[in-house]
Amino acid sequence: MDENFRAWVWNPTDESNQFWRSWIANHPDKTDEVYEAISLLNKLSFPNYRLTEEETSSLWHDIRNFSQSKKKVVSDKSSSFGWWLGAAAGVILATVSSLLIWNHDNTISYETAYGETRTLLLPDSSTVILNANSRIVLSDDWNKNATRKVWLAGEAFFEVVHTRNHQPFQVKVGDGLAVEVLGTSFNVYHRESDTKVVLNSGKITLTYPEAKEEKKIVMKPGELVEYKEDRIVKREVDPTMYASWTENKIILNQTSLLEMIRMAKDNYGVEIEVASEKMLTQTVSGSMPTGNAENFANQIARVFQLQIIRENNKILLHE
Amino acid sequence: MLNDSDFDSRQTKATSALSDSVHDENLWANLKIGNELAFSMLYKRYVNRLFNYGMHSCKDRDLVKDCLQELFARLWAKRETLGVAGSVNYYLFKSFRRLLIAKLIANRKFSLPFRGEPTSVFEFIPPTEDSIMEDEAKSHQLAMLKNSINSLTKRQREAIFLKFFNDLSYHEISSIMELRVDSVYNLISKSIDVLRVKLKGSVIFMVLFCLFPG
Repeated sequence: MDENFRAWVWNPTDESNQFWRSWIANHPDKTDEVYEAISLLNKLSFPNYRLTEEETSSLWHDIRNFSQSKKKVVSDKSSSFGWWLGAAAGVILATVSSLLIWNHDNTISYETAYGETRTLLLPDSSTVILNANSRIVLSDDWNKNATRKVWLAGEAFFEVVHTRNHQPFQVKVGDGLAVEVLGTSFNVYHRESDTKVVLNSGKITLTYPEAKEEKKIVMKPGELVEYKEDRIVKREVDPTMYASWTENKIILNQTSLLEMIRMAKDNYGVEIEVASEKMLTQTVSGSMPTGNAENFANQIARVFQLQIIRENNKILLHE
Repeated sequence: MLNDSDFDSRQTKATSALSDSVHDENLWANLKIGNELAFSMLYKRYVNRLFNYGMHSCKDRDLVKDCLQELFARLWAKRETLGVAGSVNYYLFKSFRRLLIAKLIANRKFSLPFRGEPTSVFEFIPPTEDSIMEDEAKSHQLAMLKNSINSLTKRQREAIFLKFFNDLSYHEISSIMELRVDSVYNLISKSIDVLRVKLKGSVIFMVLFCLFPG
């Protein structure tokens, strides 16, 4: 026995577990001794003083307040993403702080308001661009061997860094669907009961529940998978179109008015009504800038060549 | 006997107690560029280890918490100018100890004038009866072990605590405790001698002897 033994007992790794398991297997006469040594080493310790969960989070709260009061930075107000992505990185990082939430269940979450996007840097250097009205949750303890797990509600574009030890990265959404990758870029949309995953580059595996079983499909770049009402539909798309929101624009390709109205609701919280149902199936192609809630509705009216009427916070489109 | 769940439960315990240095460096680099998430993870990873360290030197819970608040608030405020002075582990222990000493001295000014080495206010207090777990006290060998830890000097205890429970190197300990490196070697080898005598004949002696030969 040597120092490796102590290191193994106090800080076991996959490698040392394997080594010592086979050592024990090859030295059956020593098993009792080893077992006793392990149990004693595990107990050889100083009394362990710990903060309670409440103390840990209230102390964190104090630290955040303390450092924020010293900061002479811009307001933490959210803004439309018109100028957001163009703003300096420093400003983006400084303002992100207000949205970092430390939950009691050892998770951390970020939220965006209507009409706001944020670029987040994860601890492994992967980036996430969170679209408006979205929330991402991750465990606060990403250790080096575990899967990097995040939960998403809303829409986000991921650029996942491939780690040296090929640690998987997993995005989970509400209805049981999970996207698993090693390193790649892709867009995930999940609102209400509709989930869409679009792969830009690399390879991803989707797992989803179907009739109480876990099913898997592998996606290739340029594919879109939609999961709705327990059914999977796969089709070929232009992936840049689905990630265009990250560049402050929306690319329209035979996009229906119904879809645009849905987008206004998802990203800006704006309810738009139409004069007649049959208008909803109209489509357009081209591109339009995203903007704030106010002019997003105007943009829709413009590209579809419709009239807009605003009345008591209601927006009505008619021909 | 030894089954997989033994390994796995220990693995979980150990990974939460001892952090992986590669990952630390990654968090540190991300902290420097203003990544809040990395900052909160570093906090979560270190707050209890530092708290434990602080509580061994002064039983003043509020004072230790004040120091932790200041340490992490400063870390964030100065993130852009932070150097890469050795391991993150070492940096945090050293800065935290310094802050704690400054606060302990400041507190004393209101009572008695303070004389002597600044670091002498930082004392590694022996574990008290109530801090020993009941089931641990049952075992004769563990009673001996507790006894032997108590028979170390304050500095020996601190050095052992840093070396074997917080994975710091001799060099790092010498810088943290403001001692010469050879003094740290001496402190630790003397501590092991003491433990060896106290624990003679027990299994733990065999383990320690094998672990720290010479």
